[in-house]
Amino acid sequence: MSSNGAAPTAPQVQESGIKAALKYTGIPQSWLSKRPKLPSRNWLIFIGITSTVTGYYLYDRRQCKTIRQAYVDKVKHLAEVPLHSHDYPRKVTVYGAKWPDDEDSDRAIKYFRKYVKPILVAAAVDFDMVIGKRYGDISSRVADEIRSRRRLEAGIDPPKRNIIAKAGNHSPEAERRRELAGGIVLVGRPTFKEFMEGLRRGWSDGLEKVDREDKLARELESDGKFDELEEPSSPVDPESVGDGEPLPTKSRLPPSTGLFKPPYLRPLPVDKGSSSSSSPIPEQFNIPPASIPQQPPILFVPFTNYLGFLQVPHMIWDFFNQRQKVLSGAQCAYKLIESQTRPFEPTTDLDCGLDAEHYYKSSMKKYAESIEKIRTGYYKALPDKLKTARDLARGNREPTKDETNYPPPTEVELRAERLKKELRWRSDVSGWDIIKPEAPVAFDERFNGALEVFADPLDKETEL
Amino acid sequence: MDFSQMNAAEQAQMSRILEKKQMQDFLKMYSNLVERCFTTCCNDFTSKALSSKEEQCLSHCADKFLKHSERVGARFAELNAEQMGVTDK
Repeated sequence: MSSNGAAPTAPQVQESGIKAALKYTGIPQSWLSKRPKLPSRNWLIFIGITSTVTGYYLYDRRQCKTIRQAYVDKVKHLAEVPLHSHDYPRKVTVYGAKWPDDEDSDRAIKYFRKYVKPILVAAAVDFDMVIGKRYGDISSRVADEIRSRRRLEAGIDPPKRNIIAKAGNHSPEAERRRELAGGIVLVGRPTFKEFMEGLRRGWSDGLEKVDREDKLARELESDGKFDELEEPSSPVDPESVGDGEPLPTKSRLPPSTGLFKPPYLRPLPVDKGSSSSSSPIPEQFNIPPASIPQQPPILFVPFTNYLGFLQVPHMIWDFFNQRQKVLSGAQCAYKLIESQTRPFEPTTDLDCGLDAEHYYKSSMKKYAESIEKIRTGYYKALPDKLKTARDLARGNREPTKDETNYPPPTEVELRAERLKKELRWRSDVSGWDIIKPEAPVAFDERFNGALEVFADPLDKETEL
Repeated sequence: MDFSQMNAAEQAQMSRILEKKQMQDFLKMYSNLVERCFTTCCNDFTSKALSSKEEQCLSHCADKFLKHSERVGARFAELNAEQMGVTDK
C-alpha cells in the first residue's frame, strides 16, 4: 500500500506530506482521500439560518456591552471625586407609572433600572424610585407632596422636629438647593402626563387635607344602596326584604337607622374639626399662587411597552435590537449627569414620546364602559348577599351547612368591600382620564418660567 | 432614651450604662480598625520597621475607616429619624 501511495504522489511530495503523516495517525484512509464537499442543501439552509440568528443576537449583545462601557467610561471620573462624610451625593427622583392595561406596573421602572441606572451608578448619582401601581397614583402622590409643602410654607403645619440630631446641613435652604441640583426622571409618556397633572393639581387646589377614603365613605353612605325596606320591629313582609326598591316604600322610613350603621360610619362627634387640627384654613391660602417656584429639571426617558399578541413582532424586534435601547437610555443618563438645562418649551416638549400612544391597546378605548359594566354587575348581585347577611344576623333563619362551614360576608364586611371597590373603580377611571390619548398634557401658564428640561450636552437643540 | 420620665437615680444609672456601652463600642471599633489596616497594609515581614509606604497606607486606612464610620453613623441617624418621624405622625 505504501508503494502505491508513494509512486503517484512522488511529483506532489509537498502537499501529500501531510497526508503521508496523517496516514499514521489511525484516521481511515477513505477520509483522507475524499474530496471535501459542502453539506446538503437542507443542512446548508439550517446552518445558515441558525448561524445568522445566533450571530445577530451575539452581535447585538456585544454592541450593548461596548456602548454601555463607553458611556460608563465617559462619566466614571465623577465617582472618584471625594465627598465629605456629612455631604450628600446628587439625588434624582425617578417616576414610573403603570402602562395602560399592563398587569405588571413595574415595566417603566424596570426599563430605567436596565438601561439608565448603570450609567448613573457609575457616575455616583443617587436616585429614588417611585412606582405608580395604578393609574393616577403618581398624580395624587405629586399633588399630595406639593400640598404638604405649601402647607408647611404657609405655616399651617408645624415643621417636623427631629428628636435625633442629624449630621450635616439639613436647613431648608440646603435641602432646597440639593433638590434643585438633583432632577426628576419620567419614564414613558403616561408618567409624563400623570406628573404634569399632579403638578397642576398640587398648585391649583386648596390646602385642606382631603382624606379620599373618608370623603368617599360619606358619599356612599347617603347613596341608598344599603337601604333597608322596613323597620326591624315591624312585621316582616317577605317579598319586600330587599334594597334600593322604588319610591313608595322609601318614603316610609329614614334611610338608615342608627342601629344598623357600623361604628366607623356613624357620624363622629367631632366631625369637621378632625380634618384640620385648627379652624378651617383662611381663604387667602386656598387661592392658587400666581407663580410657581422653580422646579428641578426634568428628564424624559422615551419608553414604549409592547403588550398583546399583535405586538409580538415588535417584541421580537426589540429582543434582537436592544442596543438601540441601551444607546437611548445611556444618552438620557448622560444628559442628566452633564446637567445642562434649558427652559421648558410647551410647543415641542409637551409632545415628547407621543408615538408611544399609538401602541396603547385598543381595548382601553372602552375602559370607562367596562368599569361601568363591572359596577352594575356588582350592584345587581349585592341585594342577595345583603339579604343573606341580614337574615343570618337577625336570626330570621338558621345558617345552612355550607354557610356554617364558609360563613358568608356580614353587612359590615359588605360595606367595607363596597367602599374598597368604589375607591378602586373611581381612582382607576380618573387615572385613565389623565393618561388616555385624547387627554392633553396638563399645562398652566404659571409653569412657563418654573420648569426646566435637561438639554443635550453637545448643543442646546430641542431634543428630548 | 426618654430622660424626662426618669428621676435622678435612674438617670444616673442610665447614663452609666450608656457610657459603658459607648466605651465598649469605641474599643470594638478600634480593634476592628487595627485588624483591618494591619491585614491590608502590612504584608512584608522581612524588616521590623514600618516602611514609609506602609505608613502612608496606614494613615489612609485609619482616615477612611473613621470617615466611613462617620458616614454610616450619619445615614443611620437619618433612617432612625425618618422612622421615628413616621411613627410619631
